[in-house]
Order: sequence, then structure tokens, then C-alpha cells
Amino acid sequence: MLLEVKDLHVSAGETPILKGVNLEVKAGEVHAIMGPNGSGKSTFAKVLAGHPAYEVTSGTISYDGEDLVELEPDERSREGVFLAFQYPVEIPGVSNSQFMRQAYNERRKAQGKEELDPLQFDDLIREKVKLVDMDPEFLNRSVNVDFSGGEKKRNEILQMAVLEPKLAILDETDSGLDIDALRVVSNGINTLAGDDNAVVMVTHYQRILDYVQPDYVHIMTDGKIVRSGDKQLAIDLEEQGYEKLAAQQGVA
Amino acid sequence: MSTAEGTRKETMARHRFTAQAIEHGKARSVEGLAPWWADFRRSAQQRLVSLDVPGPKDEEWRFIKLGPIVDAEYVMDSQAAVEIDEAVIEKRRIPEARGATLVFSNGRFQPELSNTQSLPEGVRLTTWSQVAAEGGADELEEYVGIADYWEDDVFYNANGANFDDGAVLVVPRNQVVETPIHLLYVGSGEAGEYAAHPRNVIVAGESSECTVIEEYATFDGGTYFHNVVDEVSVGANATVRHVKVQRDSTNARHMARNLVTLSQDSVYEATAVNLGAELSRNDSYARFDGTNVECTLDGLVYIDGRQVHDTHTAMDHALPDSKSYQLQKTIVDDRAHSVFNGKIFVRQDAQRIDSNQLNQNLLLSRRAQVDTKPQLEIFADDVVCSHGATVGQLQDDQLFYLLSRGMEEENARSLLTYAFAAEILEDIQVDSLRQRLESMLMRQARK
Ligand SMILES: Nc1ncnc2c1ncn2[C@@H]1O[C@H](COP(=O)(O)OP(=O)(O)OP(=O)(O)O)[C@@H](O)[C@H]1O
Ligand SMILES: [Mg+2]
Repeated sequence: MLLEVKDLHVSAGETPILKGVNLEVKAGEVHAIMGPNGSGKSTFAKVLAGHPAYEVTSGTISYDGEDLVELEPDERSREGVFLAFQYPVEIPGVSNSQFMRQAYNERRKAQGKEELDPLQFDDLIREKVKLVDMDPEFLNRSVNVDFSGGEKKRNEILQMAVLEPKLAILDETDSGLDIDALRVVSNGINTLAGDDNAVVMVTHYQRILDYVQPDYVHIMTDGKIVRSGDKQLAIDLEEQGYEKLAAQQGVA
Repeated sequence: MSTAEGTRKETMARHRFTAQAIEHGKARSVEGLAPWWADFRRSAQQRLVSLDVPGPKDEEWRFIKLGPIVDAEYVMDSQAAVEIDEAVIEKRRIPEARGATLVFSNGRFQPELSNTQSLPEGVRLTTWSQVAAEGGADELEEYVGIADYWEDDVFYNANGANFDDGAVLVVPRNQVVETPIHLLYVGSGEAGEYAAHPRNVIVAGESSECTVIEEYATFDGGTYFHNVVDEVSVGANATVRHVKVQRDSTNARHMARNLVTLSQDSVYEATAVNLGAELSRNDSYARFDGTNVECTLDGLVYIDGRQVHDTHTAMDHALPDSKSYQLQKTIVDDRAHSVFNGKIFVRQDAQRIDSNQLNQNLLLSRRAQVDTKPQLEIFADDVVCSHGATVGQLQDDQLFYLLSRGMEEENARSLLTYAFAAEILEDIQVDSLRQRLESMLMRQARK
């Protein structure tokens, strides 16, 4: 089991947000999590990445046999956890390539591998940039500064492609994309997805599931996963809405 | 009884600092001094008699304590000469400015370490000590003491009462000087705690262009006092780029007045980087004497330990159709304290003014302190002005973003700190200088 979440309760300050999440993800699987606004999807994603605003009050998260809660955010990343942010952060003054090279090299260092110098990294990143169909000019710009919504999402996928995580969590990476960008993002996900890693996608739309085939679809409402099923669940959801589906208990 | 006290009785000066400044001024050689220069020195000495040093009750000085500067006993710079060899200077040379460099050691010009051979003919780059020795002072009279509105300032007068060295640059009209000009002042405490009063006069003739890098550095971390006055006259349609780098010893004190007069259609772009000194003050005042002037006063302050820095600036739009820009960034760590006061005046007849001012402060420690006062006073109606100040820590969301990509916290923090600072350097067009400053900031951010 790559990721095993058991009865996870999470609060922000005094406010409970996640109220008993259970999820099992094996290497090689693609999971989609859907659910209405404010149901706790981003919170769940950020908790997996170790965001300091949230406290795990009970339950467990085990990742690759380790207690994930015990690891700092940067350690999680170096162990192969990756979160594509719903709202990627702008960092003025830090160039995109410098940022990715430093991130890449810290990961390499942790793996006991040799770091890449700027020239070597340049070769690597130029390959990856092609995958997300991005103008290499973006590498010289400050991270996400003055990027359009779609460009920010591509940039998240680019980072994922560079870091090659074992567990990729994508928080609404498909939202607000035109069809070309959606294809690019899907292609990035499919390129990564393999037998050794897993993808958890948070999404509101069934559309991306035509490009990235999920093995499981989960529905989260009010801080819990209330239903799980296969791709058909997403189709039912689109037709019937959350309320109806959530009312029917159990696994479809 | 010390000599300073003796002088104080004799001149009835109100403070030992002014008494010393007068005494030092009177002890200076008058040989080769043009009459106007001798007069200028004498008047400043006379004004010093009645001036007191500023204290906490003076609005312009209320956040800093001047004790380390005004209570010290100084050796005259002319008696504090130290040997320096080329190796010390070599490291600090700017390749682009190799043939246009003046070196000063403890305030005194060092001809054998200086080189002006890359300058086009007609450009006058010399020093006050050379002017005294070789003549040619009369052409400079009109450019000295033009900021008469400074005449009640103690430090301005201490400089006026003493200056006999410092750089003189006169660029004739229509002359574009491609080579950046490097004024390098190195300070050392080896020969005692000296006070030097460099005066740098920069005159850009009509439609001329030049870049001046004014740098203060140390090689021994000594204790000394630099009391600088710059007078910059930017002629009609001329462009002056002025980069000041203050990295004096953290045991030293640095006081600077940069007084700029801008003629019609001129452009002045200044970047002041203040990193050094235990106590420093950097004042820039730009007076707009013509229409269609563009003036930028950017600044970066990055201090730690118990360093104290104060920047005061003013841009005075007296006439219509001008632009002023200011981005002042400050990083304070440990128990350091930084002050910023930036005044922008838009006078009643100064219509169609465009002015942007922003002061951003980054506090890296709980005990660090910042006092900031952007001050915009508008008396005209057709103007576009924005101004503001922020004081904050590193942003949590940015930090988490970097951590989530595997960067160790320490590295993420220093990268963000560096990025905050480096924005100020982007406009510096002398590549080697910009790169040198970038790596300096990177090192400091990693400390
Ligand atoms: N740091 C926080 N402090 C307080 N409340 C929070 C915090 N983060 C999230 N919440 C609250 O928790 C709930 C779940 O938010 P979350 O962002 O996880 O929802 P979501 O399912 O991702 O919604 P959306 O589909 O709109 O992105 C919301 O009510 C939100 O206001
Ligand atoms: Mg969300």
C-alpha cells in the first residue's frame, strides 16, 4: 500500500474540517476525489503535503509504510509526495528554473545522487518543458508571477514532471483550462503515472476523466468520503448531483 | 583638558563634535585653495559655532541615537594614512571601470592605485586634492554649495568646514561616457579612529550621460567615520546613473548627504545599497529645477546584529510634468533597526506629475525594528501618485510552496530573503557590479 489513510480527523485552529477520512491508494492506481465546494478536498490534499495550518487531531496516514504525519513538508517532498496547488503561489524574484533546479537537487541529494549543475539541469528541464508545451521563456521568469491561470497549472505539471513523485496529488489542476491546456495537463499526468507511482486528482469535472482514466472515484462531502466507486460514479454524479448521490449510502 | 574642549571654550561651540569639526577644519592646509573655496570653508566653520548636534527632539532625527558619531574623539584623516597595496584594491575593482577608477584610502586620494585612462577626452575626473595642487577650482565654484537649504545641517557643515578631498567629475555637453566610473573609498582603523569628509561633485553637462559607482568598503573592520557630501548637477537633457554601495566596516559610522539638482528634461537614476556600518544615515534630496524631469531614488538596506540605518529622501516637484519613482526595500535581522522617511512634495504649480513610492520592509527577527514614514504632500490637482509602506515577515504561503517542493527550510528562507532584496539590483546595468552584489546578498541571506 502506498498511501493508507485511516479515520483522519483534521482541524484548522478550533474548526474541525476533516471528520474521518478513509482512503487506500496502491502504486499504479489513479484516484479521483470529487465533492462540493468547501467539503474539505483541498484541506485533505494540503494535509497530505504537510501544510502547517492544519492539525491532525486523530487517525493515521501511512505512506510507503511510514507515518507521514511525523514528516516535515520538505521531507515528504523528498520522499516522493507532490502536491499540485489549487492556487499556485507567486514568488517574485526567484526564477522558475533556479527554483526547480534547487528543488530537484535537494531531492537528488536526499537520494544520495549527484546534483546537476545549471547546464546539466538546463538539458533536463528543456525536455520536460516540451512535455507541457510551454515556452522556455517561462523558465527565466519569476515563479508564477504574471502567469495566467492556465500557465500556472502547466507550471505545476512541469514541476511534477521534474520531480517525478511517487504520490502525486493534484488539486483541481484541470479547473479553468481550455481544451488544449487540459490535454497538456492530462498528458503530463499520464506520462508520470506508472506501476510504481499513484495519482490522486481532486476535481469538480468529469471532463478530465475522459483523458486520465481513474481506477476509483470518491465523493467527499462535509469532511468525509461518503461514496467510492469506479468511473461510472463520476458520470452518475454529473447527472444526479452530490446531494442525491450522497444520500445513497455506501459504495456503489 | 583635551584639545577639543579647549577649542570648544575658544569658539564657544555648542558641542564637542562641532568644536572638533571646526578645529580640524582650521588645522587643514590652505595651500592652493581658491578664494571661494577658502570662503566656503570659513562660512561653514562659522555656522558650526552656533549649531547644535541633532537630538531625539528633532523630527528628522528622532529614531536614532547619534552618540557613536558625535561623542567620539577623532584623528584627522590627513593624519591617519595607512599603507594599502594593490592586492587589497584589486579584489574590489570593477572590470568595466578599470580605466575610470579613483581610489581613496581613509578619505585620501591614492593616485598610484587610480586610473582614468579609459575616459574620453574632455571628461574631467579628478579629486579635490589634485585640484588644490594643480589648480582649476574656479570652474567648479558654481557646483559647490548649491544646496544652500542644507546650511543648518551639522554634518553638511562639518563636511564644508573640512573637505579637501573627494571626487570631481565634469562631463561636458553631448558627451556620452560609456565606461562606468568607480569611486572606491576604503576605510581602515589601523591609524586610529579618523573622521573623513569626502565631497563628491558630479556635473553632467547638457545632453551628456554617465554612470557613477560610489563605493565604501573596508579591509580590516576598523572604527572610523565617513561624513560624505555628494553634489550632483544633472544638466538639461542629461542622464546620470548613480549607484552607491555602502559596506563600511560594521564598527564604522557613515553619514551621507546626496544633493541632486535636476534641470529640464534630465534623468537621474539612483540606487543606494546600504549594508555596512554600525550606524549610518543616507539622505538623498532631489530638487527639480526644470520641467519633464525623471528621478528615481531606489534603495536597499540589509542589516543585522546591532546595526542602525536611517534613510531620508525627498523629491521636490516644483514644476510641472515630472516623474519620480522610489522603491525602498529594507531587511532587518537580529536586533538591527532601520528607519525610512521618504518625502514627496508636489507644489501647487506642479501639474501632471507622476509619482510612485513604495517602501517594503522585511523583519527576519522578533527583535528587529523598523520605523517607516512615506510622506506625500500634494498641493496640485492634476497628479497621479501612489505611495505606501509594508512591514512583514517572510510569507507563509511562499515558504510552504518551496518546502512542498523539497527545499529545506533554511534554504527556502534564504532564497525568499534574497529574492526580496535582489529586485532592487535588477536595474543596475553594470553586470559585474550587479552580480557581485547578488552574490553578496546571497551570502548574507544564507548566514
Ligand atoms: N486554514 C483554514 N482555517 C479555517 N478554515 C479553513 C481553513 N482551510 C479551510 N477551511 C475551511 O474548511 C472547509 C473546507 O475547505 P477546503 O478548501 O478544503 O474545501 P474544498 O473542498 O477544497 O472546496 P473547493 O471545491 O471550493 O476548492 C471550508 O469551509 C473552508 O472555509
Ligand atoms: Mg479546494
